[in-house]
Amino acid sequence: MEKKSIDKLFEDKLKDYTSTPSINLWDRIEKQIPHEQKQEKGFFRRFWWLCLLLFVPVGIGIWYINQDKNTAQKNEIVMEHTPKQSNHDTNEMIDVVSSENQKDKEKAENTEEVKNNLTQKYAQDAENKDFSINQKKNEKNIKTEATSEKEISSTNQKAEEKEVKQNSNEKTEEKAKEEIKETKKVDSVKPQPAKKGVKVIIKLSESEEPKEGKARDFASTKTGKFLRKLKQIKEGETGIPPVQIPLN
Amino acid sequence: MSKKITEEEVILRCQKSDPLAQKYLYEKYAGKFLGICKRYFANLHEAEDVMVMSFVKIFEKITQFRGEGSFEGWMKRLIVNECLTQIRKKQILFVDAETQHNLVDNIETAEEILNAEDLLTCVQRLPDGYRTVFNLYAIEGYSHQEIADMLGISEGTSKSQLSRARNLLQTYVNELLGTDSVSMTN
Repeated sequence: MEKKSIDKLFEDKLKDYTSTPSINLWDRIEKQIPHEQKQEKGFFRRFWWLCLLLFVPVGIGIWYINQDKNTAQKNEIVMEHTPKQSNHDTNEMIDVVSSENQKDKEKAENTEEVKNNLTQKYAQDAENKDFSINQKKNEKNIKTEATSEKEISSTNQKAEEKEVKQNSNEKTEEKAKEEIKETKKVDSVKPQPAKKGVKVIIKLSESEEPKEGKARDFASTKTGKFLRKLKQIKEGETGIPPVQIPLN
Repeated sequence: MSKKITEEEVILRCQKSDPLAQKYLYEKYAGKFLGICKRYFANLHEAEDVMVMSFVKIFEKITQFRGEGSFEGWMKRLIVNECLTQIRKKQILFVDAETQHNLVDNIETAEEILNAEDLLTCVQRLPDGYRTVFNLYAIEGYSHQEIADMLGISEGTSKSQLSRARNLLQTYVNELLGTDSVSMTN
């Protein structure tokens, strides 16, 4: 009876005995038990990470392509602007060339190029282009300026330019040779490819606009001054050799 | 999780690995199961480790529960089996011992004075072999044959282990009650 009673004593007291577990026990269990829902979440997280990894490089690529397009457009704009400068510069160069001797012609070209900080390639291209432009369009430009603005200086240009040619033909053989060489150069200018031709046309149309805007100031430009001086020389009808205009 | 949730619903949700249901089940039974583990292991950390492993097994094997019998009983069996697995790993020697009968004459006084913690201390003081057999026989209700099968020992060894455990417990209880002179030997 006593043996059984000691068993009963322990059974009664310990059968439903509870003890408070430590706080971190559930965390330990949670790490080891399977979580299907968590695995699903983990899958979706991985999916989104994959999407990010795929789309971020694609986005960067598109951005780069857009940037390249922008830079290409900027380059085109630069290319369109540079001929304007060269056109203006070569106008001045032609003035100098027409006034100087044949021997000094190449030197003047070089010095003008140095002054305007043009590269040799650009200068040669611009020279070729602008010679043709000036030979073909210079008179037209002057005419349009003269008719549109109706200024004396612009009308004089036309007449004076013709006079300059006449003077050069009549008075000096050297100038005649010079003109022949100029015309040869013009003839020697080869037709440009189709793409460049389009660009040139655009450039011409653009180059006319600013000239019209600056027509009032034409008399104050070097060309205007030079032509005025030539006119003075013709009015005096002196046999004075052609005036060498200083470069500056 | 609502308080009115039934045990069947908890089981179903645990079978679908619902984390909320799993935590609910843990919070409901953790104290009771730790009490069981503490009866088998004197060291608290050891008991807690076994309880963690037991809960992991419960959540892993909960899909195998078909609703036959009590769910708590099913879980208790898993806990006890896990305790025994760990005890076996410790390679406890179940040696036949001479049967001594230390009787407690003032059992009613012990019941009144001693609480569960005191009695748990007495059980934890027992050698591993004695403690295991006493737990299985006196508290869990297994027969000597079952205990012999579970522990891989003979039925006679189980009986002698239980007898020795009782004698020691009587001694420990008498110590707690301050009645050392009551012990008798046959």
